[in-house]
Amino acid sequence: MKIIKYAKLYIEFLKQNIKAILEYRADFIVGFLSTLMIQTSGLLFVWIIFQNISNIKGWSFYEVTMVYGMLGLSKALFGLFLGNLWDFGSSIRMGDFDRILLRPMPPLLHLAANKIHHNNLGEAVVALVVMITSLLKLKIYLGPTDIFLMLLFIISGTLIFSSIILITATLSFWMVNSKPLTWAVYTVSNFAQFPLIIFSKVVAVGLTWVLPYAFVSYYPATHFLNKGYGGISLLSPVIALGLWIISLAFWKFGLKSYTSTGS
Amino acid sequence: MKIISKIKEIASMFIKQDLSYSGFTWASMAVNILGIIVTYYIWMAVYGSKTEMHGMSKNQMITYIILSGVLLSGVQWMLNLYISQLIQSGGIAMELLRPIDFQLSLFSARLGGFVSYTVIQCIPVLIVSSLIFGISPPKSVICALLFVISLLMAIGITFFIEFCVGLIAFYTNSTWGLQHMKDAILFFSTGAVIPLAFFPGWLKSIIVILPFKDIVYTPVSIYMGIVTGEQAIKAMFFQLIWLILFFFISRVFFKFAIKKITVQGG
Repeated sequence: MKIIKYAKLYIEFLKQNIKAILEYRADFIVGFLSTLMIQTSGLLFVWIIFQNISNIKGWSFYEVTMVYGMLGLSKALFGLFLGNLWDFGSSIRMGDFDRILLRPMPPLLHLAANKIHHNNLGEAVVALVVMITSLLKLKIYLGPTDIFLMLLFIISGTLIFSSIILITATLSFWMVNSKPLTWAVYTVSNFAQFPLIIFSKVVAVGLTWVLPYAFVSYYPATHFLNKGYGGISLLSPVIALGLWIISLAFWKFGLKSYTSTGS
Repeated sequence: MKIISKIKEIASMFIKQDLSYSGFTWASMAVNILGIIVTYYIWMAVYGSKTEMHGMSKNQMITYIILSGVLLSGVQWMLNLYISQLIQSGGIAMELLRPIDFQLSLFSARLGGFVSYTVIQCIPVLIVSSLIFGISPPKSVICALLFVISLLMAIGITFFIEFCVGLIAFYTNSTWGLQHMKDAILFFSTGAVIPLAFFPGWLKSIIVILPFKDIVYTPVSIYMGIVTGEQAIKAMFFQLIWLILFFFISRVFFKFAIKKITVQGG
């Protein structure tokens, strides 16, 4: 089975990554704390706002942080496993990508396995703690079905992030550097840290149908918070899968038309 | 006079360098505007039907958000990334050999960056977001003048802070992590997304002691006339003290950190 072979390879890479992390422990701690602080400072912003009002358009503090946490977790998981896509453009320019093409492993998997972006662990920890705290404070207890759905939503969210960034990274096959574009598109996800209801119609439509970040956080959260939209949230896995198939096809198309820098 | 021509030379070099990465210029403008839009919607939702909160009208809040959003990115220059890269690549050895003080050379680069980054990137962001949301002019001519002085000091303070953050690369390789830590701290402690009046009492008293509010909050509140007259002068006096203090801190830290390089031998 090819899949088992690749899984074993990935685990081998993972081991090497962990060795590197243990070697540079101070760097690991700085990186871990940095994403933890970014998430915390955003939360502090929300918290300070709620010191002035009791709810935003009917959303309480913990309901907002639930949305915030769900986006954070999927974003962190994407970064953790596919963070290497950030530097894909430069790896093409430097010719590093040619080396990856020579290996007996799908290039995307190799790219992903090359470096685990452990920095994002800090982000993931904060997001997870925030989600659990929010649910506990709201006295929402998840049954087995809901836990399954939650896992499904988080995986879907991670896939949505991965697909969008894979598409912009793939553009590096033709552009000198698509990283600025990736950066801008990634930043749009900041909208989805907050309930969609506070934005204008145009923004809401954009976050639903153009860059569907709302399916990472807002719609899934409404399912658990009983805020309407619960039905739409079930579209999340469908959209994630669809996007992933499209972005993979685009990636393969890019691979086919790729001619090395020659250096 | 020789020193001035050196400064000019370095500045123009950095203008060219900045302008050659047009992709990043566009992206950071987009990121800046996106940030302002998100903050705008949140505050508008917070205000809801209220016309005033903590003595700030809705329109004042919009002006505050736009101005502080532009300032937060404009006063920074990612100098810390540049220094960290110099340290990690060993390029700093070359820099130290140059017949100009290292910090002065970077300051000249920052002057270039003022044209190619602060002006070329921030003015369009300011214009676009003002056109979308509407911005109020400065309270008075004097407010505008004091604002400019306060802004220049804010850029100075940020320069020395970034200089120090960059030097931490002598102790860790996680440049990326340091950059994000800096971002996280500046995000709320500068008052860039929340005016000081909205902070709960105890947190406000911490923020007031820290120097970070002088990077964004002080110039913006002078522009808007939130602080005026004697209060404004007092705020700027403290800005000046922080500027001088950070100048000395960065010099001392540099002297101290540079010893590490001789240990490594190169």
